[in-house]
Amino acid sequence: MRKLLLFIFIFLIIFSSRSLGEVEVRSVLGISGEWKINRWCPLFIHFKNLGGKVKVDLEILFTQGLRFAGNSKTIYKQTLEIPSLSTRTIEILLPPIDFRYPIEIKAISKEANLDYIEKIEFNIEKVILPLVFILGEKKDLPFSFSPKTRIINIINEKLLPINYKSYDSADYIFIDYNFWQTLSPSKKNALRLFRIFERRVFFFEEIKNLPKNLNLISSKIQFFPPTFLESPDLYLIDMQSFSYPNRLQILIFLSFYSFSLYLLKRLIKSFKYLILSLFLSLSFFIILSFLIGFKFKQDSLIVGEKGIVYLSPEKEIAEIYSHLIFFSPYKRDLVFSIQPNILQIYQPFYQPKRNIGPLKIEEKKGVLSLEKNKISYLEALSLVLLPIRVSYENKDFIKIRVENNSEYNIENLIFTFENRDFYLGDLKKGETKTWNVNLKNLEKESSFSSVISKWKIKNGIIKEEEIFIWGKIKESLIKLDIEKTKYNIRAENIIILPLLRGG
Amino acid sequence: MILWWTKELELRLKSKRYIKIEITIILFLTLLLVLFWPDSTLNVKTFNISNLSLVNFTLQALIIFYLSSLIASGNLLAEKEFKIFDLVKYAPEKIWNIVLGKFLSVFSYILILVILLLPINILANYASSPFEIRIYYFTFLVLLDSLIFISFGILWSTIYNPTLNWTAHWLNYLLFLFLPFLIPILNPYLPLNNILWAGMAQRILSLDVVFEFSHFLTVFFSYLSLSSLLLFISQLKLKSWRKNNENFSRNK
Repeated sequence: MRKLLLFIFIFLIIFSSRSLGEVEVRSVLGISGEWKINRWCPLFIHFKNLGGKVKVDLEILFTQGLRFAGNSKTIYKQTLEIPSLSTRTIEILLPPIDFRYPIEIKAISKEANLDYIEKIEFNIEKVILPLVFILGEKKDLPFSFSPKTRIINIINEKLLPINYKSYDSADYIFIDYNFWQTLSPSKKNALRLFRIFERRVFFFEEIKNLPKNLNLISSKIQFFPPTFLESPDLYLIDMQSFSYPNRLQILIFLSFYSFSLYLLKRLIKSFKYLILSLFLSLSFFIILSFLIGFKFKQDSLIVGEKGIVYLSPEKEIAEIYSHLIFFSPYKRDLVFSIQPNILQIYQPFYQPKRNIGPLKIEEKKGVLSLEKNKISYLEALSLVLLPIRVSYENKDFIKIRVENNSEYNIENLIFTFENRDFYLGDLKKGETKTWNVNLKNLEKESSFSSVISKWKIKNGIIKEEEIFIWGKIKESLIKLDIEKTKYNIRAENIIILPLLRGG
Repeated sequence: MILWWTKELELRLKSKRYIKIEITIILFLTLLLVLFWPDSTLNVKTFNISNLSLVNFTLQALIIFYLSSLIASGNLLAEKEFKIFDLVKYAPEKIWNIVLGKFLSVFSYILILVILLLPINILANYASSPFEIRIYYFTFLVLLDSLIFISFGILWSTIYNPTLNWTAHWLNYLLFLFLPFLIPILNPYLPLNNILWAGMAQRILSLDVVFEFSHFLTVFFSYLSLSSLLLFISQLKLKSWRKNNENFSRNK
């Protein structure tokens, strides 16, 4: 009997440690399945493992582009470990989705015999409609919503994303305070951060301060995919210098080589020593040539960066939309590390291009395949701590004090007050300056709109402010450490420091 | 066989005339490389990296083939003191040893010259577009091809009449360059084709540049055989010449 029990026990241990192939996968795009086009949104993938511990290779394909003129692909990869008899949910922040392409999900595990492939299709007529979330107990809202507005009530915290930018898919979020108190700190922080940057989150107690008409509108379908810029800006890379040796350096190197050969041959009389010295000299120059050759290919890369930095006045945290442009005369793979402050990175589509390799993002590492003599792009959303303090008093004249404790110099700071400008000048890192601005001295019209228009930045990205300071940072803000490559980068970022809340 | 030809190689390496030739070739190829070197500034509208390997390898091969034939045939001005007839007359060596030694001496010099040009070739190869490491193929093929030019050169050096010798050397050089266009079917087996292949050329005028492994095997064995045959014929010719000129005093 004991032997039988022992056998059953061993059998059960072996049986339970192996997978039965009972892994269920379910994917949900948006918050509770609701999202709005042209906005960032979350993708949830739920795993339910009824068998033993398994490893699952997860792959999400995000595509932007035109139907017949090529596209740009981004593949997000992860390897997950799902313990026995457990559930696990993966949340992925997706950039604005191009209506032409569904999101493709693959979850594959050989040990669990799992081969899950799904293309998330969507109803375009639905995802353009305004979207409002009510978190907690549903109360009557004193607004005149259009009948097509989607008003979604959420009472289960599990449906809410952890990434603050995921809430971008909503036009407005209204929270019941009792529900708020039950939320976990991570969800609270996400909603707080979203409120700081977007100001579309309100408690029911705050509703009375809002206008009766929230002016919710349906999204427009963009023929060109939703990217940061209207069109790419080649100025970012044009006339930049490569880091590889130039003509003069090559001429000096080879002249020195021929001169050394001449000297050796003229000065050394002994044949043995001549051969030995020729061998040594040649070895030196051959090794040096190989090094120059390797460096030539490695360093033949030019990078341009353009970004919008939006600093929250309360928290010294900045949200950065970065657009990066790459050029190399050779076909190559750029391997770079992705810093933790980068929320998401993707390959945007700007112009028809064929045979362009996908961008692969895996375990905080990215691989971008560049084609010979072709331009490639990356776009990223990131958060950085930017210790720039701004204080502002509006009495007889406006007193502005800016303390720049960041590591960046800010050039051409301009104070914009109700669409009128006042030029403040440069502010170096570590510098603090105070300005007294008389409203009579303001320019008649602000140059902000024309600068943004020249910068080709899409309207939806810039938040409309009434009073703000803005300037330029000509240093790279996004730290992509491209492996084994020395390259030059031209960076131009616009920084916006809002001084007063609108609305 | 005593390695007498190493003495000839030593004299060549120390010769001022040869230094001039080497430095001239290196400087010419340096200027060519610098001229075609990619711009270090990116002009989006005009930037392009040319195939530096093709330009460099082809010109270099033409120079090396010419030099191989010129030196081996004894037509180089600096070669006057190393004439093969003088060796046959006065050297205490068998004629086969003289022919083989002459071949080895010229080939070793060409080998050293090709090695001296390596830094330029490496830079040209790495700064080329399309990018592919072909320097190893080129070095091997240019040496393999030069076997033929050296062997023919030695054969022409057995012509006592300097004008006929010079004409034969030139005709032979030009024939190898133009034969692919005259008889296209021979193209894969001729020197120009494999050098162009090493330079990543797709086509030259009306000819496709094709060089596969089967072509390489044919080229390798046929060049070695042809070289041996040419050296053997040279030896026979020299023997015949010595027989007709027995009245020359010899040490041995």
